[in-house]
Amino acid sequence: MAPRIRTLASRDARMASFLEPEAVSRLRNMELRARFVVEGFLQGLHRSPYHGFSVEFAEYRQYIPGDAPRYVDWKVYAKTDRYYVKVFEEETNLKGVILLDKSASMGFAGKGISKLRWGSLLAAALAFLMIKQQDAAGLVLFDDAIRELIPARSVRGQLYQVLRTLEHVQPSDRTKVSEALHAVAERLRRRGLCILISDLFDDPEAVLRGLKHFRHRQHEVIVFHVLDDLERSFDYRDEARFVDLETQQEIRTQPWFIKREYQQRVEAWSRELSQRCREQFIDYVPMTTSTPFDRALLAYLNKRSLLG
Amino acid sequence: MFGLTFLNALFLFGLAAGIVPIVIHLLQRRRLKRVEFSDLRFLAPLNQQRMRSLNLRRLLLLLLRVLIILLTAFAMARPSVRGSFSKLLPAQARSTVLLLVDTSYSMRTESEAGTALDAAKNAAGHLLDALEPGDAVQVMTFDSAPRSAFDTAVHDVELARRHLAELQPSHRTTVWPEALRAALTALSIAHEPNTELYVFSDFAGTLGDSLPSDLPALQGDARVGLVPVAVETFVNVSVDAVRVPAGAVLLEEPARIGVTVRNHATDVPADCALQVELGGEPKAEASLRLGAAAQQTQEFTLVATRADQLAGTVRKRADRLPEDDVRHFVLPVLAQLRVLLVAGEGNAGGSFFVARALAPMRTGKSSVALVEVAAARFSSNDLEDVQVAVIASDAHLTDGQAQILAEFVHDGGGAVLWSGQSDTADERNRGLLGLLGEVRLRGVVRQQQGYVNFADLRPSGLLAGFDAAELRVLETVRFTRYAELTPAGARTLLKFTGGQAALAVGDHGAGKYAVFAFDAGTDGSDLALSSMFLPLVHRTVVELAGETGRQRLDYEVGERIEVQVPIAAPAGQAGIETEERWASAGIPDAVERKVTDQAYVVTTPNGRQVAVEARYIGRRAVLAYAATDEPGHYRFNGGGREFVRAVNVNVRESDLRRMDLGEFESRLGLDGVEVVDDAAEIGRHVREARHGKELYKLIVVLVLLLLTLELFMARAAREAAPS
Repeated sequence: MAPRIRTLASRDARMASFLEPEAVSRLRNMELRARFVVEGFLQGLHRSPYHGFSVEFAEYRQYIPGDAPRYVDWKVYAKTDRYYVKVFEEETNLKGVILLDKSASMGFAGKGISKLRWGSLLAAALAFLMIKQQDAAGLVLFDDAIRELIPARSVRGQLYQVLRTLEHVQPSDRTKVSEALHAVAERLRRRGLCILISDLFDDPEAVLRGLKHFRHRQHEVIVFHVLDDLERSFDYRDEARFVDLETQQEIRTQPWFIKREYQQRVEAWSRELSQRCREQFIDYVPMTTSTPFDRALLAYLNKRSLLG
Repeated sequence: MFGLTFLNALFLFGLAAGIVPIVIHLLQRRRLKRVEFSDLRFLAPLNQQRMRSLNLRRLLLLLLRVLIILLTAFAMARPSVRGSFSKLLPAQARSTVLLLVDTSYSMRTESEAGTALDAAKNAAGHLLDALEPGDAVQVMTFDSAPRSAFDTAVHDVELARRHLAELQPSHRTTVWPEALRAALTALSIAHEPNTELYVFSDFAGTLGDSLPSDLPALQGDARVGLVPVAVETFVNVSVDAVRVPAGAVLLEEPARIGVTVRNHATDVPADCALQVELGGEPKAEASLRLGAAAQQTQEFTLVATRADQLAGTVRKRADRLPEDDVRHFVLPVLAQLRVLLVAGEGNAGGSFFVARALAPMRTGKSSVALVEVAAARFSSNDLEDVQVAVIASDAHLTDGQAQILAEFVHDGGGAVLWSGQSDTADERNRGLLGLLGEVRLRGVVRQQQGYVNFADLRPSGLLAGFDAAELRVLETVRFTRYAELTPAGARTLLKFTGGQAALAVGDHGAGKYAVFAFDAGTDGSDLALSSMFLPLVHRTVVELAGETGRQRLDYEVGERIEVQVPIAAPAGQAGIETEERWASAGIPDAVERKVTDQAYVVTTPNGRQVAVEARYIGRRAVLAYAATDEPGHYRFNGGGREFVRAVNVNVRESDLRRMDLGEFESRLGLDGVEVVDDAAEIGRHVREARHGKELYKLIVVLVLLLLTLELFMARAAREAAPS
């Protein structure tokens, strides 16, 4: 008997809101935020053309003694008085490591949440999703060096540790992405999936060398290149004194006067990174802090599906 | 040297407002928002590159705004520049303005718009309109002398305007140096810091030859403007002079006058019709054709029908300058000549012939009343009412008698001396010649063989009017004896064939004398037997009897007329004979003393009667009258007699050609003289000359252009900025 899934328009809207970074950011704690993002994302998947990417469960079957009670769908029981269990896709033992850049530049917040906040929310959602899929998830926080490392594990307690760490992450006052990537690549011995969340404000060549180091060690890599909307658009109105968060360097400018050229330069930089990543078979996903998380989660799932 | 002045200097304080845009600019810089940004790696190089041009534009905009404010304040201060004046005058400086107005008779020149003086008044009115509150004004007119309207410059412009309106041209000519000196002197003591002199004239004629050298020093910082009034050119013909006979004019005898007219036009001929009146009666007319810039003398023959000092007038048809179209003259007509013949003993000097020549008719009317007296009995009483004394060559005169005769001539009488009769006689008469002064007698020449004749006789001067036949007769007269005369200042009227003087005429004081180098006797020549003897003697006597030589009959406007009147002999005195007696009579030369008991009245040409007193000037009793402001005849009446004098304009003023104003400036040595050609623009010229060329209009245009540029630049910046 196929389960009845009720779908309501209001419920869709609420689910969609769980993917908005601003909305998610206001939830009480990181676990709640991660759950809401993932469940909202998965709910959306069922109604999306991306159904083929579903990885949670494929079907219902009747309960047979010996099945784990946790797989009984009690809602279906409430409706049908019959016991049905969810059938999941075959489990894999993927080792995923989330690399979150906590350098000073990640602390920049334009009109919404900071990049670090956004990155931590994404990291939380990814960890939640991984562990929910019984993959191993780990976390590395870095700036110019590794500041926190949680090895990848698939047990339930791992998620809480990761979420707790992400709950309290603060930006540092240093930035040197490329050096940190080399250090992380050296530490990750087992082949796995490396998910980098960073604004990549460093020498592009050095960053790419760092990423190549991961590839050299046979890791799969997804790069979530996150920037604030203002960092992409430079949509400031008034003449102001702009101060570098890290170096405190100050310049005075009329933003509208240089906006177009700034955008062009940022675009060119992003394109170069994309092309260079592509050459190394690295997935490059440009994001902004106003982008809903489903896009990032879809990119992860796509990569995940290719890894089997 | 460049000079900058401001009409509203107070607004220069507005220049301080130029700092406002700078202050705003600096304040805006400090109020800039501080924005933390993640990374400046893209911003910094881009900003450095693009902001350079932006900063330049912003700086230009700032400078533009500062400049707009500065120029606005500058324009409101009404700056002006002057070319050759270097002093920086405060805007509140006041001026004393002196209007020097030419009122000479050339300013009577008429045109459709009025006279030249009317045009000058109009231009002066424009100048008065340009005066500013607090300015002082003085009006000075000038012709032959300057005259100030007010004791000192007045602040009441309307008073000056009324005075100008009442100005009338005079009959006098311009004398520039004195007028300019008076004007500049008046300005040099003005109270206001700025002084200005404006000369309104037709600038006709010339400056004259003698110019003062102190005018540049008197000018000081005074600005001088010349305002030539426009005069329509026309052909001006003037009656320049009337020549009356030097000798006596006898009643009913023809008298020739010469009238000189001049065409002042340099490029066109002119026709001129003359009319002569004498004693109120028209006497003659003539028409002349004058070439360009030509002067011509027309002779008229007049016959007087009345014995008196006759007033005569020559007129031509009036043109645009009527002042010089009339000339007045006086023709003294005598009923008879009173001639005294001082004869020697017997007839050795030809006295008989002389007497017959002078009074050919013993009975009946004769133009000559002859009185004969022997030399031994001759005294000063014999000279009363005598016009001419004839001294025969054989009349032996004492030193005292010679003195009497010399004084008689000095006081205006005429004397004829016959010489060459005998050495003794001539030697004695040398004393008289010595007193008279201009002729020396060296001796008597006797022709042993042959004779001499008159030579080079021409119908002019003494012989004017004699025809060729008469002159030929005179040339046949033979002289075998004559005196050797040496004219030492005298004029030789007749010569002998050897070149020696036959007749010399000299001046002594107010009178004239003639010396014949021969006597009238037949033993030295056959002149007495010639038919020309009588006319020659008559003509000589008449020539010496002219009152024109004795008293001046013709004056210029403004000149003082002096009329010598007969002296009433002091009581107890038979007559004044010698210098010593003059002194003893208590009548010194240098003192003016009223002649008692005789009243005179002068009637001016406009009919006004003024009482005048006779006063002694030297040894002469003189009626004097100085208020000769009008041309015409001035008649002095008193003591049963009338004396007429003619007053005319100085025709130098009739040359209406404008003098070269550049030469005017250079000859006077004045500095920075400016010419205002268009009298209607004099107000603007006064403002510009006083304050220079005002720049505020130019600056306002510049400010508007800069404002437009600023708006354009600011708008371009705003369009680039987000809304």
